[in-house]
Amino acid sequence: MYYYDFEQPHTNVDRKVNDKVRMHLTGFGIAGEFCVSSPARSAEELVDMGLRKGVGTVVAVGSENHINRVVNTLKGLERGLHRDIVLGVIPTDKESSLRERLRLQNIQEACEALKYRRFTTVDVGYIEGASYFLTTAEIHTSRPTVISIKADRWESEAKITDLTIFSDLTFSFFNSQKSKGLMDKWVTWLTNSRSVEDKSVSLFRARIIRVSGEAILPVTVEGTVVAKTPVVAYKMAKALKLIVKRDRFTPMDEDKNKESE
Amino acid sequence: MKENEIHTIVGSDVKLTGTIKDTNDIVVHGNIEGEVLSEQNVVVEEHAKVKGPVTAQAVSVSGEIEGTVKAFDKLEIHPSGQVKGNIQTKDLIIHSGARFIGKSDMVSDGGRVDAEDAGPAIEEGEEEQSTEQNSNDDESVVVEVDEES
Repeated sequence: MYYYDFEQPHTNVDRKVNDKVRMHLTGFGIAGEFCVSSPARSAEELVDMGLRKGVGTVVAVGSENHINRVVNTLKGLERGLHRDIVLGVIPTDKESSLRERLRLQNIQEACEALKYRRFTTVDVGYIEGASYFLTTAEIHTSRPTVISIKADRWESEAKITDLTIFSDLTFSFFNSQKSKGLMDKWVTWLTNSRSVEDKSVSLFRARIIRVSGEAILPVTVEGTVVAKTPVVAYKMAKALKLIVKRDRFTPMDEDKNKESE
Repeated sequence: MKENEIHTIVGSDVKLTGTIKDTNDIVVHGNIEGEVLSEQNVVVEEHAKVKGPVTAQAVSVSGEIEGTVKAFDKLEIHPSGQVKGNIQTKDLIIHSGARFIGKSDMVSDGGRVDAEDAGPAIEEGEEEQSTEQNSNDDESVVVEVDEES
């Protein structure tokens, strides 16, 4: 049975989206148990309740912040349960990076993917002692700040304003105050008819990174502060079973051995 | 360089110490002190500086490298480029204005880089030895260029 953990709706639009999701799920014949988080029952509590009932598939419905909260709870509880839980996601944000990553055009496609329950194992990022994440963890400062990064076999110092860590521990950082402005990029693009590379942007991949700064900086996952520097981030390789669209492969997750139950 | 392929980029404001390796391309805009190893291409952009050995299938230098360069397919030193150290490659292009100080060893079979199995940074002494061994080979050509003199 599928256990659906809906994000609390805040507007009429959110309620309509949730109704639409329910309608699609019923239409596909995969209506399981619907739970909506609220101040009385948080998304984390609902996942906990579902796992205690013995559900094998949890579906997070909502924003990326909500989906990450579900992932974090799931991974936190999974160890104690000694069993793998399959996660389904229905990202309701139209601009969701997860939607793009899973190549889901709309809510209907996300619901349809659940119907076939085709899953793959994906990497999950982990901020030590703080949070798991399926999307990104970020550090943002208004003023350029010197940070020190220690990765697998190297260390680096850089003055940055933005650091983004993806779940596969690809990470990028740059100093936005040194980066070219949008107008400059447009002018260059129009005159040269080609894309512009920003030399201040760095991009790396690692299995483990330690980030520390000259100041204490907050680390956020989809807008929620989960830790403060210094932090250690790990790649939990193929740590989560995620339902993906039929005949579509996720670009970031290389596991080609798709499994299905 | 293929679009959308995730590769390593060292930004212009970055000072990096240690071994950096990737199965994809490595593009350097900043400063690196240590080994750079790629199974594909290494591009050292203008104003970038690498102090340490560089190993890749193809290496393009517009900045500065101080160390041994092993480019199994091709090594290209652009007008603004500077290499101080021995080089080993199958195909060498040095543009007018470029600076190269060291020995070059032209090998017929390039071989391949395996970034996954990369050991510790190659010692300068070890590299010298292998160059000399190859230079005894009839097919290899040893060129000594010192543009400073």
